[in-house]
Amino acid sequence: MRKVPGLETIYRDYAPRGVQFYYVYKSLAHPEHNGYVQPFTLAERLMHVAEAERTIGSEIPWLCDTMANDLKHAMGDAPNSEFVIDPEGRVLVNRTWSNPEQLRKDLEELIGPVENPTTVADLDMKTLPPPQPAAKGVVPRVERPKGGVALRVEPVVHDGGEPFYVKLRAEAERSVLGGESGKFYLGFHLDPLYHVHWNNLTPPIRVTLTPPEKARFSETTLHGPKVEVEGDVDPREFVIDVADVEPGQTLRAAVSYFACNDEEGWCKPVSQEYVVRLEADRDGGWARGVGRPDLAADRSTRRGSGVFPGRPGKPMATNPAGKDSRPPAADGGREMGRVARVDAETNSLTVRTRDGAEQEYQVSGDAMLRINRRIGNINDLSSGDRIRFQWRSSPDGRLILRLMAR
Amino acid sequence: MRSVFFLTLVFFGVVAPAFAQRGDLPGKRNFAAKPAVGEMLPDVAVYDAAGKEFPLRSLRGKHAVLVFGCLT
Repeated sequence: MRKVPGLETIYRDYAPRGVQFYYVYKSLAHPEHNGYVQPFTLAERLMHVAEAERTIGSEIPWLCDTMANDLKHAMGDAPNSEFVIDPEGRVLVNRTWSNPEQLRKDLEELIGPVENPTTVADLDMKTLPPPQPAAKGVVPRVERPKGGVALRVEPVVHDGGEPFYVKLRAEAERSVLGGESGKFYLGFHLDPLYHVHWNNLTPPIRVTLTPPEKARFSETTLHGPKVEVEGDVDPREFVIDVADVEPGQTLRAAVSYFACNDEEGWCKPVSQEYVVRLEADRDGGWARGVGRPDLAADRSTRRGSGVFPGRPGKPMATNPAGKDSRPPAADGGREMGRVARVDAETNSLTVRTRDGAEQEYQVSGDAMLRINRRIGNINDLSSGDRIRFQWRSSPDGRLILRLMAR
Repeated sequence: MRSVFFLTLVFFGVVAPAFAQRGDLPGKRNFAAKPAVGEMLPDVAVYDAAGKEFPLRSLRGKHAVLVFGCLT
């Protein structure tokens, strides 16, 4: 939501002139950033809306998409798209990426210019940090499977049961979804909106997996690490090997853990269950820069404007703990070709070069994509598109950093 | 004249499906394209911040700006 200040200035100028403004809250594009995780229920998504209001300091009101993400799907599935609608309900402007500068021009044309436009400096937006009830960075992050695909997770809800303080994030290598063997990631992340932390004075989290019929798992009972610090909020993560699973099958994960809420003054044992469906979750988002030592969550590595700006970044050291991780020194280069296939679910492209060879690339979550001279995303690419791009090798394979398509 | 008509039919028969397929990805599920300029906003009901149902048709009567976003 980096565009928020610009949008807020436009809201100040045009809301009094009868234009309605809404942010539409949808599934997280990048779960785990700042600790926020995908909500399980509408009530939790509304908690996210309240948290967005609290932390962003915006005045534009929010709408909240359904838990089936109906509006997101109907409006093109992009993470930060922007639309101007006329009074009859027709789309006047549809942008894959919000552009406050252009939006102001659109409204100047539609409604009329403003004599003294509000600037960002005129706003008094009070932004707040996300909640952190206990220590962080205590438990090393595990390295996730390469090209892992987010899977559908459903909580098993019981009447009168505790909220799901812990959210399960499940990912699998694509080979697993294709019926082959591969790696499977299970991450148990505390939901910061409940202000709870692990109680490390008690036995650590225990996970019991019930695999689908005929499937083989390297482990079915998982124990979290013993942590010296009394309480922390780091995720408890596991990577196991699986084989002989069929797409669409389900597995159950039963967890037991102790959670504490210092504000409310309680600690209690919690036992809950999740059902993981072995199919890609198109709304699962991509947890970038976390447990992926090749990708920095810090956007400061992006330089300037344009598709191929300046010199490539310096090679950086790898830290298996994931903290301050930076991409390793690696091969890379610039290429031209045509898009052979796009897989928006896994954020990957297959490119066919002039000699007819095909190569698969992962698109970095921070990648700058410029499509038909506009900033776009992977959804805007189609088979046959001519592209030029810059890439680098990473543990996840070849990683596209910048791309231009016409 | 008949040959021109026939050629026109062939043109649309060959080229139009190619354009129609531009948004389709062979062997892969494709997300819905965003509504084009001029199309109606889909008739979906979402929720306001208080959890009350909010049908998008209630935006009619004034211009509206919708921006998708989330915490991360």
